[in-house]
Amino acid sequence: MIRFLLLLLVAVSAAGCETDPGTSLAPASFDRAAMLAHWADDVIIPAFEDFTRDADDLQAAATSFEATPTAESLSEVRTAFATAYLGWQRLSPFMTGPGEDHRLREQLNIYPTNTARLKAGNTGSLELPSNTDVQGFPALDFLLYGTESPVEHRGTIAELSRRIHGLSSAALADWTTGGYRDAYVAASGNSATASVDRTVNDFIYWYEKYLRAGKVGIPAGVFSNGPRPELAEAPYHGGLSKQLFLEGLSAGRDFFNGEPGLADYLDALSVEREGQALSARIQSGFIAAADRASGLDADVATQVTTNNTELLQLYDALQANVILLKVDMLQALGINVDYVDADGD
Amino acid sequence: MRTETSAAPLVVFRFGFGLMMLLSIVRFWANGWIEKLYLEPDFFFSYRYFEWVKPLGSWTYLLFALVAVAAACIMVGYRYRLAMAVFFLGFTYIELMDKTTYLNHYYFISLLSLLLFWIPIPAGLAAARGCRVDKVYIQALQLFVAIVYFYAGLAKLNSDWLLHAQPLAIWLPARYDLPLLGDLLQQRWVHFAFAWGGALYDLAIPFLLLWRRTRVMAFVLVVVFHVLTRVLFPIGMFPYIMIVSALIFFGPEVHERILGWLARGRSRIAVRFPLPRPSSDWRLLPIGVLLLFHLLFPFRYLLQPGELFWTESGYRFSWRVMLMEKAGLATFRIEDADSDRRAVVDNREFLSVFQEKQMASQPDFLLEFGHFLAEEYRNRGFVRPAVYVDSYVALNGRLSQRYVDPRVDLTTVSRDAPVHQWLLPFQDTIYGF
Repeated sequence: MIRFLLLLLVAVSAAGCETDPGTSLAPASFDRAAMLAHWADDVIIPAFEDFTRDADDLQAAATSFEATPTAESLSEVRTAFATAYLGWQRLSPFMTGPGEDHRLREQLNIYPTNTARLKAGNTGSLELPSNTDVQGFPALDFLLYGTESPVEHRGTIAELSRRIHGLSSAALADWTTGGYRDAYVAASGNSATASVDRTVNDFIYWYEKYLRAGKVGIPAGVFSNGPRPELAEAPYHGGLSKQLFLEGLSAGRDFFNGEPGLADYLDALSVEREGQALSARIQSGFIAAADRASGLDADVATQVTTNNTELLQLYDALQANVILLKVDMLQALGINVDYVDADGD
Repeated sequence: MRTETSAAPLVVFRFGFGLMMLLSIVRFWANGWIEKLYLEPDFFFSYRYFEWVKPLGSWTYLLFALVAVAAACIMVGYRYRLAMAVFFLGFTYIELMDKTTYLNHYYFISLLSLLLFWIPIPAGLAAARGCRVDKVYIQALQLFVAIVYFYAGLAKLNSDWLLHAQPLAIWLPARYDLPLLGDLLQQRWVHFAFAWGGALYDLAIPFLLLWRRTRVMAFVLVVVFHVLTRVLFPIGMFPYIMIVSALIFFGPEVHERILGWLARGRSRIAVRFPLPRPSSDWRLLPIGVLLLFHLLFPFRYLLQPGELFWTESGYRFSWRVMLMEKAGLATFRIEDADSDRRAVVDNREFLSVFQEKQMASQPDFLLEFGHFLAEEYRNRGFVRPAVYVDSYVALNGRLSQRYVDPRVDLTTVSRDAPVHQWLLPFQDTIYGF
């Protein structure tokens, strides 16, 4: 009897050992590893490649503007700036791994930029965390469109453009030659540190903080006393911010709908809510937000001052999908919320 | 009718309990959870009437150390009653520090340690062999464990669990990465098999353990069941604690042999524990009161209107285990009635991810946090802050639904006000217990 009990206890302790969260096994109904491979090979790495190419064009244009400051070369920098800024919107949702390691989003698109320090021109090392607000696209927006003479700042413009390209190339290299891609696809398990969980958490974080709040809610004054047009994206360009928003929204929608992607995953688990597929509900949420945005002024800051109500309605449309993504979808997919590791019962 | 029997089952139980508690504390400490759960956050959720219980800063480590020493004393049987008193007070204090970490099995341990405090158990291991005690103490422990299982089974008799296999239908497919089981867990019939099997197990196991002829089979079931839950869910030490607790159903001969094995090579001439005389009958009073409380307290939800899973009034402390997958999102808005100042709160400024997750789907957490925010924003210059919350909750795979009434200023709601006055009603019906 005692031996039997001891044997059982040993069996318990052996079986109770944690399984390795990174191990991947062939799942029955939905192939997560295939989804991760699709995300890595067809979404994230191409977004990095496209953006890095745009950033390369930008640095080339900025370098020739630095050498020969003419109206023509200035116009070329401005065009390359807008193209790269739009390309960035398609990359911003995917900061999992290398993007985060290189603090890409922090160093490329923190706004409002610090105009006083930019004008003074002595910012020191751009690596410093205290210098995130004097670089990236918001700083270029100011230097290219907000100053009386961009020519005077052409050295900084070129330096900042080269830095954008440098950071993006480094993160891309980590994904491809650095081996992150394989590790990413291999971690197809279920835990807060597995790739599906991390990517989805990062994606929702981006949707909530950077798309919904950063581009719409904050300038519309949802989080403050009254509207704050000066906190909109690309305020000095004056005609780009709506396009930047739409590009981000469309990147988010494409990611959700990619095949195989989150919509497929939800459908594979036949997730229905009140007679309608949850994937269809989220899909119509993306469409509703795009419809709401279509009538807006090309410049969000202008929209805030002329008719802020429409922007507030866009915020509500975006918020409806935050609830579906963050509450309903995470629950249905059993995705762990970031870094919560404690016992349950 | 009082009968004396060997004290061995109690001694083994005491040893097992002490060992499990010691391991639990060591594991908690080693995982860095003291720091993470009790030192890092700035705000802690309190139980009603225990608002004064807070983490003690760096002294919290000392508190855990004290409880660990008490557990070690319980295990070896040194100053057993004092150790049990220290353990009960220390462990309960820890559990009351932040409601975020509430788990049924922590409550199980608190209540069990209070029960054990009243039960006379001989000291030591070797010395205890041959001691005799009143059988009623062993039966009290058996009843205590049996109620936990049976009530957990009763709570599973509801339409979500039995007819929709929820929340297992959400949790099990998410464990696709388990070797061997992963594929099986995707099958709908497996979810139902686990749901019905789990309910049946909880309801039947106390009786199967009590009956001598099914006891060994029942114990095998206990081990298999708990190992399976350990593999499937992140439930820490609980399975091991329940497996050790189930030993109390075995007769004295089994425990004598366990003791013999534990105390092997040790002298039996140590001090004899003075056997409790019949004069210790008074102990039966606190034990009886505690068991009565144990029987009745879980049913307090009957006094509250509304769906229990939605309002959670009376949900805790009633052996409702693994019944809900509840996720929420809460956005607080502060408006100053005396100026046009308003603000939207970033919950993470005050709460950890874990705290925010718990807060977003439980009414008492939402209210307490709302009150805290009013105070916080008063310090930030709001004269008369009103607190509103935009909140959504999804329960067991239903579409998310608005939770707190968004028109209610939470500062006007008292912590004792009935939840249905400020929580929106649940738009569905769950039948059963």
